[in-house]
Amino acid sequence: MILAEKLTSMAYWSHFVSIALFALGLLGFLTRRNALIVLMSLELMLNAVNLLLVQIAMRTGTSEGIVLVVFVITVAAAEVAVGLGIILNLYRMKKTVDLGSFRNLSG
Amino acid sequence: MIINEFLVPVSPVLSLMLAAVVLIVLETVFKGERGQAGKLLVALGGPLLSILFVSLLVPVANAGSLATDNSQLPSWLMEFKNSYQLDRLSGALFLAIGFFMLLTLVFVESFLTGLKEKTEVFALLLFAGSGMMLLVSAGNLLMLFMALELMSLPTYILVGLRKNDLRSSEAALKYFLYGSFATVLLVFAIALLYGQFGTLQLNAISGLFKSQVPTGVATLAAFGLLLAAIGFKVGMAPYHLWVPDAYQGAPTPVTGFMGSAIKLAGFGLAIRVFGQTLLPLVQEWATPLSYFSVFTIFVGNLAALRQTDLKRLFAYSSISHAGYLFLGVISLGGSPQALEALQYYLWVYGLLFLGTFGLLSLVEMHKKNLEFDRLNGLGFQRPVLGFCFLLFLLSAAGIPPTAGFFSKYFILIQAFQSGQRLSVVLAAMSSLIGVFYYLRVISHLYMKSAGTAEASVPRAPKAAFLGILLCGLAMIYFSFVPVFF
Repeated sequence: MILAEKLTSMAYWSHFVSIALFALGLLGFLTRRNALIVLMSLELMLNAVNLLLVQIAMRTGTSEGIVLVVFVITVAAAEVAVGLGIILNLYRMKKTVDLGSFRNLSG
Repeated sequence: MIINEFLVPVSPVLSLMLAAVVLIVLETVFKGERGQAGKLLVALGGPLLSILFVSLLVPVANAGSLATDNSQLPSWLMEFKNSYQLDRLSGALFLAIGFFMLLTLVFVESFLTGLKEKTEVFALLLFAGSGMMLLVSAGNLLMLFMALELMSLPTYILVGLRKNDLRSSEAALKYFLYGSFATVLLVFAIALLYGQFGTLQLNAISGLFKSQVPTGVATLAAFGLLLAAIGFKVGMAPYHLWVPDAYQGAPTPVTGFMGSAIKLAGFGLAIRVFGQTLLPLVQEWATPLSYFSVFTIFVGNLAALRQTDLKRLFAYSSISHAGYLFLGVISLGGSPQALEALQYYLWVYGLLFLGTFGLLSLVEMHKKNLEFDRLNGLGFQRPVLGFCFLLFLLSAAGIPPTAGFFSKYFILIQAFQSGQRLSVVLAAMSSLIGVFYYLRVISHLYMKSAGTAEASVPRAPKAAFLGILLCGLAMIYFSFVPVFF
């Protein structure tokens, strides 16, 4: 009984791990200037959410969360493919992936 | 059973996907320019078939004949039925998406000349269209997420279509980063809602909201994240920073697609989330969000005042229109007719945006920049197209004989009836600011002469001319038939 209670409270605490990971990703997304690292921060945030979803699915005993995780992983892979393509194309033209150097659009 | 329960309801979406797959196969057999007419025919066939299926299906769905005994169904079919709702709203939005796709395909075929990957562009447009349809008819959060991605990923590629143009690629990067960030926020919101309620079903979540008013920090965070994700997708201030850049850098026909169809799908999502799932809590969020949309209207209109590039001008104008549309979403709680006002606004705005960007693509054909001066004398050189442009501008400004006036009027009436009085007054005042910059464009059309003797705007390809004319006529037609559905 006590063990079960401990596990439940631990389940709640483990949410903070994923929220901390998400915050780290957010920090990276907002502060870093390198396009590749920004992309990695996006992935970190997605994976933090995946972790959260798995924990919730385990806690509530439903399977929908696990299914969603599989879909999120798949979509994240597709997103990285598209993002890397765009970044590669920009690198081909400018020889840099620094976000600060892309300032051609303004009005 | 599979045909009746699965293939028939989903046929509008499937026809788009099928056309896209056929196009990809065709491209491997007939490479490049060969068989371009056939490929275009297949591409146009997708939305046409989709429109046909929708117009056959929606009366049946409204009569309730599609509802059958669910207990006999296998479990995967039950899951599907729960995650896809074909109702009056999704039927109307399907039709609009189909029409916008048709016009976009025509403009892409006419104006993106010299592009080797045209078939792939058609396929990407069709995939994005099927994603939009699934998004506006999503019944659970999993489908909502997948559909949003199916819509967004092809669009990132379409924005960066001109591979050797730095501005196009840069716009694609900005759109990609902001768009993926919105996706991440949405998934996080989904996770929080799932943790709170233990289900992904929109109806179930809405039902749980009805029985108890949640006060936890998790629900509040989920609400804020949903708002931010939707705000990013439809371009609401303060999440609008990507809009001018992405709209300016994207190839002009693609911008037309983004401003009409994607905005429509984004508002379909907003209606599903705010107008259906969160509707039981409307008292809590209606007033704060109405100030949010008024802020958007002001930001869009004020920033548009100082633009010199036409595409950027219309990007900011689209931000202000998003504000009006969101005011419509907010009034869904107070008055159910707001749904019709919203559909009407989405039709009118989508058609005027597509028509405008069709015209801008034509203006852009010879020289690449789109300063105001490029329009000098267009009204006299190309009388029909110039008049269509005049109609679009008057409509966007909301001048009475055109459809744009009625769309704004209906939205503001609905918002007023649902009790957002201060926001309505502010929104109406802000539309006065908008009139200034639309009239500035009109003055270039009719009151300045082109510097050189030869026509600065080339003759439009026949199909594109018809498309623009259709949009122009729609501006008049819709003003005589204000109640469309």
